[in-house]
Amino acid sequence: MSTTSIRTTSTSANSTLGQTMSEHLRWAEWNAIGTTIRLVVTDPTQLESARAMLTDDLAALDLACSRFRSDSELMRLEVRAGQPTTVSALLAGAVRAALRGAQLTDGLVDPTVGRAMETIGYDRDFASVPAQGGALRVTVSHIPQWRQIQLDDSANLLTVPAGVRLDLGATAKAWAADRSAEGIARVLDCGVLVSLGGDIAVAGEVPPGGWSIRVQDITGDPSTPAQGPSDLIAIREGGLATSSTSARRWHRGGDLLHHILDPRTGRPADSDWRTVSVAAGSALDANIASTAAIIRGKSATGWLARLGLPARLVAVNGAVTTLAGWPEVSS
Amino acid sequence: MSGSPTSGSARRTARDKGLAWVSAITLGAGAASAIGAVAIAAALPSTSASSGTAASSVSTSSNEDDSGSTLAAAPAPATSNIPPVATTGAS
Repeated sequence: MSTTSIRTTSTSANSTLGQTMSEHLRWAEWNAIGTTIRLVVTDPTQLESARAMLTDDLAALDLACSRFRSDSELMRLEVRAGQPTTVSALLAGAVRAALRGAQLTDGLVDPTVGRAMETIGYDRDFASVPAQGGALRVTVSHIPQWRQIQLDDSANLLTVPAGVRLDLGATAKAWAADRSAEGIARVLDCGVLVSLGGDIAVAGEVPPGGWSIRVQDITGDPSTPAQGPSDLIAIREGGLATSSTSARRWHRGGDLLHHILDPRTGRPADSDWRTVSVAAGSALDANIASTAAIIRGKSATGWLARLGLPARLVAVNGAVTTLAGWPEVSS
Repeated sequence: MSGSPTSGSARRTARDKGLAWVSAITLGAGAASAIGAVAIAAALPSTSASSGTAASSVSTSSNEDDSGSTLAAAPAPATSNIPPVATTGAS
């Protein structure tokens, strides 16, 4: 088994293919939906097909769910505000995933924070959000709350009240990772790892030793050393997700803002944790738990332990806490 | 709702309207005063009282119940001694 990552092919300016870990694992990495996409398969002959499938999946996801595209189904839905509207299965699925997150966290992970997110400056693809800016003038407003969203599962009939803008970003990537990993594994009959900006889902054949993943503050190239504390772990099924205040941050006036909003306050969560990683039965549930844990703050450890979700929490000062069976391997 | 200066009166106004004063994003009190900014207030869940303190206590109490109980668990990760194929972190 090779111990060196080998980048073998460059297919475009922002896409790379490679061979890593063993002769039988191949990977591709590129940028899409505002983040880094990484795809690993256990059958080298299926990498191109898998990548084509994932590329199509992500293009469809973006067109359905992006709040940064005026032509997305989500944004076009606003002209029918307050009226039941039949939506695509893809948008219905993403909204269903978001509502699952809200329901299971008592609203701590709430998709109705779209307007609040825009208010604090995250109103476009993050790469285009100015890193610095003047103090914000903010308007007193209501956080709409997820219970106002109505989704008729049987008919994909969605009702979003007037004035509410959905932000599906907290859960849609993880849900999409699950969906694509399962679909690719089923169609191509091989093992698949899909990472959408660090929300990781695995499906199908498990490589020898499991899927080896490095857990760290910022998602990056696995062939280069991590910055800050990290763990090297392996999973065999389900998903792994990390939520962190260490990325997607910007300044307005003297304040450092980030993208994880506390729906109870409408502003970035003031958390005891800078990074929380959770392993769960799916990337979606891992993401829901890790995001909620950031917002919960101190009480997150008891909550995660009670749920039996293996987790690794990094405090603002860098101290690492692991629980519910997460291996203690910090480096 | 209208924009509010960073002041106690704005907090009171928000609370009178059933809103919870949440925070101010400012350049500092002096600068904020100079530019006439800034405040965020947001509605609390309907079950919450109209103050930040009450919201916190209600939320904490609520969060001690069985929320998340149907989140799907998976076998705990194992330690690994082979090179990673991916990383997970903020992005």
